[in-house]
This record gives sequence, C-alpha cells and structure tokens, in this order.
Amino acid sequence: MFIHQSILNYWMTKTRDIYILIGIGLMTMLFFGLSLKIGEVKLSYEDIWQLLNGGEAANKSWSYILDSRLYRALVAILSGGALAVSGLILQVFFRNPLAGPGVLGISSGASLGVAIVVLGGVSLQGFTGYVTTVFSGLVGALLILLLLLLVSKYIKDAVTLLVLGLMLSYFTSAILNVLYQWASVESTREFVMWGLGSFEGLNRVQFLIFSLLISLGIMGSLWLIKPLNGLALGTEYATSMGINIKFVNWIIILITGVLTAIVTVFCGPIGFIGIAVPQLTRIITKSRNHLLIIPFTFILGSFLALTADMTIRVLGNNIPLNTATALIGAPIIIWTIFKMNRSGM
Amino acid sequence: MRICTIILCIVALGCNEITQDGSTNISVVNQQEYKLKIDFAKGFSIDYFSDYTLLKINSLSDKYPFYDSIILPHKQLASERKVLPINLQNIACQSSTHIAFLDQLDATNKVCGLSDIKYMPKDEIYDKIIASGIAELSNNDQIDIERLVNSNADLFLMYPFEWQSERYKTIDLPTLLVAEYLESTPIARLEWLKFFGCILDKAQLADSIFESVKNQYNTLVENVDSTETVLFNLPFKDNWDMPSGLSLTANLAKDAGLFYDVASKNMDNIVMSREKAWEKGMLAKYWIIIASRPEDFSLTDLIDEMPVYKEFPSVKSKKVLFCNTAYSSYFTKGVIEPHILLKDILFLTGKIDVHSPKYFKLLDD
Repeated sequence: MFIHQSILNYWMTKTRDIYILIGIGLMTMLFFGLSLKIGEVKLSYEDIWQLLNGGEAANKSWSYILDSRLYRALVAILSGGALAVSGLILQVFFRNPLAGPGVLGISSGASLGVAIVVLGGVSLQGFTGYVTTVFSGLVGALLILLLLLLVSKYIKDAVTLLVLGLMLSYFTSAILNVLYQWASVESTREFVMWGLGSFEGLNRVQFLIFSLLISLGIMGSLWLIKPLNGLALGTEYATSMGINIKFVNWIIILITGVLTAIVTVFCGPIGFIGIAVPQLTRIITKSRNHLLIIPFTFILGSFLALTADMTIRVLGNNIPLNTATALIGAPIIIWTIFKMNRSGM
Repeated sequence: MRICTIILCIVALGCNEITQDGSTNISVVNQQEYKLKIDFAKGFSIDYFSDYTLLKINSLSDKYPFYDSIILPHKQLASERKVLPINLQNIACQSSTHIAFLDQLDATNKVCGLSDIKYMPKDEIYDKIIASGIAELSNNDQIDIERLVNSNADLFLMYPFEWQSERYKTIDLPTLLVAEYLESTPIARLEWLKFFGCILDKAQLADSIFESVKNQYNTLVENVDSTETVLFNLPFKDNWDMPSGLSLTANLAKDAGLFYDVASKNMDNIVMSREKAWEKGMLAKYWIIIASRPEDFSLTDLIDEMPVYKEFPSVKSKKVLFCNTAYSSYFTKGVIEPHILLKDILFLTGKIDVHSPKYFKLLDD
C-alpha cells in the first residue's frame, strides 16, 4: 500500500509539474504574441498577419518594426532561457544556490573580453566585428570559469567561492575603468550603450548566429542531464554512477561559458535571471530530475526575460533592462538567502 | 572740510574690495562705458548701475530652474554678492564652447583650464589651448576640485548642472553659470558673445561681431516650405531624441526653409521610440544628423546601423546632412558661426549654389 501511494504521489507530482510547465509555456507564447503588438506604432493583428505572410504594409517601416519586435522577443526568450540554464548548471556544479553567471564573475569576464575589443576600436557593427567580439567575450568568460574551477579545488567553502567570484567581478570592472581612459569617444559610446543591456537591435544575420550558438549550448546542456542528476547528490555518488567527473567539468565549463558569453556579447551583461530562475524553478517544482528541471528552467527563464522586456516597453523604454530583471529577480534571491539561513546552509 | 574728508575716507574704505587673501585691493577696474543691449538671448541679462554692472543668468525651463548673478564693479566695491575679480586674467572653463566665445574675443590666452580636453575637436582652438599648456580639469567625468584650484583660475565658467553643488562653495573661486545652449535660436545663442564681452571688458568688440554675424545670418534666412520635410538625429538604444520644435537646431533648419513636423510646447527634447521615428523617417525628404561617429563614416555605415534606413527617402536620394561632432568644430566655432551653419544647410539642400560646407556634408556610399 505504502509503495503504491508513493508511486501515485510521484506520478501526481510529475503530472502537476508537466501541467505547470505547459502553463508557463502557453503564457510565454501569449506574451510573445503580445510583444509583437505592443509599441508606440500601432499595428493591428491583421497588419501583423499580412506582414508575416510577406504582404505589403501601408508604411514601409512597418515590416522593419515587426521584424524588430519579432527578433527582440525571440532574443529575450533565448537569452532568458540560456542564462537560467547556465545558472542552474553552475548552482549544481558549485553546490551553491547563490551561484550564477553574474555572481561568479563569468558575465564580467565576458564583458572584459568585449571591452578589450570594442574599446580597442573594433566596432560591434558588421560581421567581422561581431565574430571578434563573440570570440573575445567567450575567452573572457571561459578564463574566469577556469580560474574558479582551479580555485574550487582548494577552497571548498561555498560562500568563500562566491565572495571570490564577486572580487573577480570588481577586478574586471576596475580593468574596464582603466581601459576607458584610453578609449576614443565613439568606442566609449558604443561600449556604454552595450553595457546598458538590451534584447533589441539584432539584425537577421546576428540573430541567426546568436540563435545557433544558444541552441548548441542548450542542446549540450541536455547531454548533462545524467551528470547533473548525479552531481546533485554529490561527487562521490556521481562517480559511483560511472560519470567521468573530469570530463563533465570541462563540458560544464564550456557550456556555461558559451551560454553566458553569447548572451553577454549580444545583449550586454544581464543580471539576476541566471541566479533567480533556478531558485524559482525549485520553488515551483519538487522534481530533482534534470530531465524536467532543465526545460522547466529554460521556459521559466524565457518567460521572465520576456516579462522584463515587456515591462520596459510598456513603460516607454525608459528603464534599463537590468533594472527590470532586478525588480523581478532580487526578491527571489532575497527569499533564497532567508531560506538558506533557516536551513543553516 | 575735515568732515568731508572723513566722509570720503569712509566711503572709499566701504567700497574697497576685500580680496581672497584678506588684503584690500585698491586697483580700479577700467570698465568701458559701452552699454550692451540684449535683444534675442533670454538666458542672461545685463543691468547697468552707476557703480557696477549686474550680470544675471537664469534658466529657460521651469523644469530645471537655476539662477546666478555677478557684479562687475566700475570702481572699487565691497559687496556681499559675487563680484567679478578685478583684473581678470585666468579663466577656467567647463565647456570648449566657452573657449570658442573667448577665442572670438581674442581672449584664448586667458584660459587656464578646461574639462575633457581629449573630447575636443582637433581644430585651431584646440591647437591654441594645447600650445598654451592649459590644465585638464576633469577626472572621471567630473570636475576635480583640486585641479581647478591648481589651475589658478580667477573665474570658473560652468554648466548649470551642478549649480547648487557644495563642492564649489568650499573653494574661494567665483563661479559663473553659462547656459547658452538653452537658447532657442542660433542668433540668441550667438548673443551670449555679449555676455563674454561684458566679463572680458570687450563689450564693443562683442557687439560689433554679433551685429555683423547676425546681419549675415538674416540675409540668408529662407521661408519654410512644407514639402521640405526633415528628420533629426539618431537613436540611443530604443529611444530617439528629437529636438523640440522650439529648439535651436529646429530653428536653424526652419531658417534654412525646412519643415520640421513636431509640435512642441517647451524646449525639452521629444523622446520617441525608435519605431515611431522610423515611421517619420519614411516621410522626411532630408535627414540632419549631428552625431559623433568614426571619421570616414558613410551612408553604408549608417545603413549598417539599421537596415530600415535604406528605405528612408532621404537615404535613397542621398540627402542625409551629417555633422560629425567628433571631428568638426560644431560645438566650438559652430556656435559663433551660425551663418556658416545655415549656409551649409542651404547649400546642401540646393538653395544656394556657391559655398564650401564647413560643418555639414552629404553622406555618400
């Protein structure tokens, strides 16, 4: 009877989680549809439908406006999902619920990579500029991750590691300030604009590169389902499951580095999503299976990023993206800290 | 007779200026008798009194109020109010625009410090101030008080942004607000030359330069043609700052006969979304861009920034008037040469035949 009840509970929980996942997915789709409509230029759904089907509009700018809204919404969905999944993997890997690409300094590493290229005079406009910047951002993010991995062999305390990540963020910010001193007016302007963070502004080619790289990263994260399930129960348990920890470490560094660096390079440093969404996932779902947690985190991250972007648009584009993500993410993080404190972590 | 002497002594002592080191300065300021009349500028006024001239500065916006005043003594004067230092020799400036005014009045040699020298266009004024070895006043995008003090300035000309800041009250250096950029017409902005003439004791020279430029400008002014529509500027992220219809830039375009279809009740910029500006861009014949870009910035680079631009009539017909503020003297010499600015626009829009543009150019591939 007891076994029967636990299996029943398991299936009920699983079914509940899947329903929630579908619900959030539907909400994301609804917000996606709304985000094509919301804006200072009023486009009717008929106009949108006609334009999506390759029709002509009364004003030629409308097709560009729709393109811009479409890419912006898609970039928000992919970025939010990517940062959230990256944060989830890092939290399991470092066994710390407060880990995330922003907190550990990975975003700052990517920012420094971008800064070296942009403040060095390479424009973000154009294919070559973007490729150089993506590569440089990736190198910056991976270097920080490697450094953290190295240090984590000697420093086991989770809080100390987080403080170290914060120090790395400050250090890279300090280097950025030094770089400003030699940068030209145009480079500084371009870097400052990038640093404000935004999901808008990608053209068709840039979007294709962006979505391709993010998709590769997300697909790679699906390969990590089994290792993450093992790591969540401890390194020894994972080893007993036959997981090659060393190899997994490298894959984790590569995937989280790629996801964080790509989002940071294309959209600017975006805070809070990477740390808050995995927490929110754990609040909503009781599942410990990453087969469910990874897609859940991705969709929830997408939903929150789209919500943040729509908030900005409804408020007339007058607040920076990081302000919107902070409004949503900070309360979740504070809640997590209280929870950690209660459980004596 | 003895009583008269005593009274004269008391009056003389009462009017002596107490200098920064506490001693009494007895030199007499030789202010000219020439009285300036302000006809266009609304941001400052000059009132003449028997013993002194009063220079008052005020805001043109209810949203950002500020005011300032300084006394220019005709003779030794003791006053609780701010007094322009006698025998003004060293002037520190927050903006290179201030130096352009000073340069026009042959007073560049009085400039002892400037903020953000590296952002100045590399023109003849830049060469002059670099040759004279003036001090950089700015540090991390704000005025460094220590550098300001070390510049040995007698007067600091500053923007009104920090007009109530306590920072400047800690040092014994008179400050004076300059807000010429808030004027609504190029001629009103040029009239600030009289403000500078007043503090430099070169009122007559300032007046004659002003009259000459004003007359040249006025002879060029065209009537607005409603078919000559114009779009302004470039976006910053998702926002596009359009100048107010009452602004200096809008009035310059209006004087060039261009039609700027933006209703404004005040001088504040109109912030519209990028997409709204795109819609407007589809209807504008000309596009005036005053921005900082790389030196060889072209029409192709502009389209690279946003592909929608290639649909704009102004881009299709290559009627994009571009002023690269990183490399032109728009914010320095341009302020005191509004007639040249106007001529540039008139020439590039085909309204005059002979002219060699100085500040603007048509963007090409």
